[in-house]
Amino acid sequence: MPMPRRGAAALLRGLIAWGAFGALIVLLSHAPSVAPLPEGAALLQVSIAHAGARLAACRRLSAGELAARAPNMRAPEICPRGRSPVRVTVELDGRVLLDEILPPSGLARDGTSSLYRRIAIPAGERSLTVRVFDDLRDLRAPLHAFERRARISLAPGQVLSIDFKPARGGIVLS
Amino acid sequence: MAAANAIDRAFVAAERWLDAPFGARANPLRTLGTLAFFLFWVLAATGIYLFVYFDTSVEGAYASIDALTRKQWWLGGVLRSVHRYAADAFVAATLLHLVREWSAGRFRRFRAFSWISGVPLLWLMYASGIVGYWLVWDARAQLSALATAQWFDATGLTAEPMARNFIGAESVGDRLFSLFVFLHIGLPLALLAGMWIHVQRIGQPKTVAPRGLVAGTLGMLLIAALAHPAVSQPPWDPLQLPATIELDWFILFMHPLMDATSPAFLWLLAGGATLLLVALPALSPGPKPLAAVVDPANCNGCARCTVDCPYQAVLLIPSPNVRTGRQVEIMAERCAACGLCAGACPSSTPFRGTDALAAGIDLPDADVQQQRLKLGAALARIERGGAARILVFACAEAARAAPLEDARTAVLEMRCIGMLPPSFIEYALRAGADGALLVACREGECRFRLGAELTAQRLAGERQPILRGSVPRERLRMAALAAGEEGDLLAARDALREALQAIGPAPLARPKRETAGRAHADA
Repeated sequence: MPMPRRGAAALLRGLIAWGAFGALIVLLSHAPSVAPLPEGAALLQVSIAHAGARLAACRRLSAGELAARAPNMRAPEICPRGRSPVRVTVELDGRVLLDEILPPSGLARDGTSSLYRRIAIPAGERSLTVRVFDDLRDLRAPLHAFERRARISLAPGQVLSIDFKPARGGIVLS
Repeated sequence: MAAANAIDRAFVAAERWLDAPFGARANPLRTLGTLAFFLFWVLAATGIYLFVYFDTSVEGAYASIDALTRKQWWLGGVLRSVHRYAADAFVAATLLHLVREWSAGRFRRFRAFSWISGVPLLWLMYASGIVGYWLVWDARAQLSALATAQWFDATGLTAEPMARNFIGAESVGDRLFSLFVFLHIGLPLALLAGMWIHVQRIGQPKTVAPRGLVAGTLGMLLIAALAHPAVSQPPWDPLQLPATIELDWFILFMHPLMDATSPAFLWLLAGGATLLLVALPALSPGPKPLAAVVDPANCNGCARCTVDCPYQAVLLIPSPNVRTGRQVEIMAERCAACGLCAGACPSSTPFRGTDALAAGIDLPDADVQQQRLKLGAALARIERGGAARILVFACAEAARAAPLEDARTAVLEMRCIGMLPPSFIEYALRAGADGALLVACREGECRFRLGAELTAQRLAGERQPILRGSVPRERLRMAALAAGEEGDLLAARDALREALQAIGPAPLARPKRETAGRAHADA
């Protein structure tokens, strides 16, 4: 069987092989670097998870409807599960950055409407307007919206998160 | 196929180039799977040390790793770097292993199980590596965790975006790190279980790295760790991103790829590649080998074929009719038809005094009876050739031996040198040959993995069936040469002839069967 040659040339060949492998490992383990944002940009991070309004209000069942049900199914009130989609808009200096209608999650369309978007914007002082419409049942009627207007000043690389938390007053900037 | 052939040729050239310093057994390119196994154990050992110092909390995760790197750089820092580079080397070795096996066609039929079982290991490998980066909880972890969450969110299967778990300080809790640790231990354990399954259809798998490979790998990792220590990026900060982030392209390449395309594209790519890899054995099945067969009347259940089969195609089953209480059974879909089982069978010997020779296990299209007839015919060809008559037992995959044929040299070609029972060599020396030359594949290049290795062990008396001690070893040579090395083969034959002329004719008595064998050949 051929045995490895242990001469200087063979040793050099072995060193080259391990050296090249090691160099490749170290090189690609660190470089090239990536820029999470374009130069001079800040980040708007829109993250919303909110259940829209119920599509139909709860109602009491009539006596006839109750009688038609099995005895163990005679709850006096029914509440349809479906929920309205939620619309989110974000404007920066009057320009629309985001305008999306978010469907409710779940097979019965009764879950939360959610959104996560990362939007790079030029750093500096800006005018921001965020609106959340959580009841889109009647698009002909004036829609009720949660709205937040703010002057923001973002440095390059700075992150501004936009969330929607009705318990904390609606649209939250952090 | 042209691409596969070109890559195969490139691999073969590189492998041979590295045989000189390392030898075939410790050649990293010939042992990529073994190297991956060894790197896994390096990762496990260094990971245990890092875990001892790791603080599973939001405040402590980054600080504990950073302190280990700076305050205990001489051990903790080095081990952290070795852990990092071993993970990268594991990915590199695994991907090279995949490309190597594909280019060599080692994914079809009897190799399909190993191939397909390797596909989920790719997912586990990347998942283990990605979660490992999250433990550091620096800007790189922030980028990776958010990108991974976005990728899963794109499936639409999550009620709320997973990304919301990583965007603000209030959404990140200490329990998240317990989950990360659980994943970074659980996923590699699943990977290890998968690696164990991956080699189940491989006989005598090489999962333990030889010393030379261990030394080279550890040396490379240590030098890399000292030359360029792995350090953390700036700490995770939900309010500020650094201008640039160092990325480990071996493990985290999919994040910038997703940024440049879309989560849907990345799913399509990952899913498509997975499906393609799984379907490859069916899409390109290649010819079906004619599987070995068992002759129960001649099988005594000795299990040598079971042990020697390179693809675990020979099973032992209970059989009350046999003295040993067991017999062998062939799993035809796993059989490569290499004949190593026939070479291991004690009943596969030309000395048996029967006209219709049959072995306990054999290849239907190249059984022991046919081999004895061919041997008889070959011996007849050189009977009147004068002194130093040589019988060449040649592997069909190795250097071409047919050109060696002359008045004093006969060539008996077979599918793999491992299918040669050693008794055939003794038979040849007793029946007219003065010497025997065995031509095997170059070390590390046996098409059926173990042919040359098992044959060498049988000749050395280290493995049953052995070549009997009474056979003069000075009349034997084994040449391990690949196609294209026919010049070296000719030189090996001439060297043997020269040696045989110096020591004279074979001293062994002629076998009783020899005349009958020649009669069959003549017929």
